[in-house]
Amino acid sequence: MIYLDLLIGFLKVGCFAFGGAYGAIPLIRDVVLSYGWLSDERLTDMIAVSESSPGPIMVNLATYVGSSQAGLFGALIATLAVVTPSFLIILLLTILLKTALKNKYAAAVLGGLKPCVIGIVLATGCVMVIRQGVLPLLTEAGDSRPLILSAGLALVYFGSRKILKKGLRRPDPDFRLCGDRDVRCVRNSDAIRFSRRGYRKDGGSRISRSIRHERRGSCCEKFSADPPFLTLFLTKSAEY
Amino acid sequence: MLLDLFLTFAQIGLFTFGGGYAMISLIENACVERKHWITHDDMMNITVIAESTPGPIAVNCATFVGYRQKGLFGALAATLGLILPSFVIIYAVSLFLDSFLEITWIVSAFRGIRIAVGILIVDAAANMIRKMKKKPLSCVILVGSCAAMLCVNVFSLKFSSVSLMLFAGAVSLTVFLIRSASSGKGGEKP
Repeated sequence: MIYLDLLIGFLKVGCFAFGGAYGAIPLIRDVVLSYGWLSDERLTDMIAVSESSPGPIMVNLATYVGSSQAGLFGALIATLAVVTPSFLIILLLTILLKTALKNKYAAAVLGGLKPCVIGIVLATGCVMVIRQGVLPLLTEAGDSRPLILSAGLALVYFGSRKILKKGLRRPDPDFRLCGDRDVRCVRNSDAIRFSRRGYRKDGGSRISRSIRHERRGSCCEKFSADPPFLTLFLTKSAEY
Repeated sequence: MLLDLFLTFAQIGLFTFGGGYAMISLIENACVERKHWITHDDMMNITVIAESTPGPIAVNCATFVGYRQKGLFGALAATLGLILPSFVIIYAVSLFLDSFLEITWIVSAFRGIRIAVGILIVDAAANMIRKMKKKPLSCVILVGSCAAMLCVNVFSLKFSSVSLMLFAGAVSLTVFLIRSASSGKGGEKP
């Protein structure tokens, strides 16, 4: 029964997708490949499409997988299944258990979950690069152009980002968005892991220049739209 | 009011590319600065909560704001508003994607894009590592889970990442319990 499978599979994704979209990709990949719904290539294509279209990546992926397996109704079930757990958990946390996350046992479990998610994401990314980029070179009459192009573009992209960050000190748009709110973030530094050095705790009225580079708080995290940009960029350039 | 919530979040869902974190700044702009539905502090708290709970971060924020404004129905309206645009768009895309992916030059473009997706995921992981609190236990768990996941993929074992995560949570809880038991009552914070 495909509807039931979709429901269970994406409920599982919704319950365990810690750390936003990138934390969910390994899980979705797990579920989709284990049920045999899509091939690895098609799923990766779809991740690229989801990154380049509006909306949460997780929702986009669920909608696509559902619709490819069971039409409109399947898309509805998969989307609702991926959203429902987080909806219920937030309701529960805001209504009943306002302090649940500060509970030391919950914090201990989360403290183990988070690095584990990061490890899984890292492994999945490496596997995807190797499987899509390196393995074709060994098997077929190797076409190395995709790998060389992507690697070169990635180098250009990360290199330029580093130079922009360190060298030019351009006023980045995200910073303007945050504005003087940063000061408040610093004041609330007990609630949020924030910059470790480079701010004055007492002052509070001025933002020292180094804060910009030290910002670690979740609210003032760089909200960049880089990933879809890179994807589009690569689309354009890989049309050799 | 419900309609207002729905429309505001539909607008956010329609115009944000790039997933969760890109949405947070838009949600903040709309709900804190323009509509004054919640305060800055609320927004910061919900961002922290959203990061430690499963599910799309933007959905977590929408649910919270909706509930604050109009209770359960508000939460429903905001969440549905947020996911409806992307649902419609992706559903429309999915109808055409298969024939779209058969065009020759798009096939070759996607051969590059697939590698790029992998690179982006590695980059996301690197960012998360940079933000993580580096303690011995979490580093061990990170390396261990990464190695385990690599093994699962290389040898194509039947071992889901969910069980790996549950295992990591259990390990961390056990270490915490042992540590607090050995250092007397109360123990130290994990």
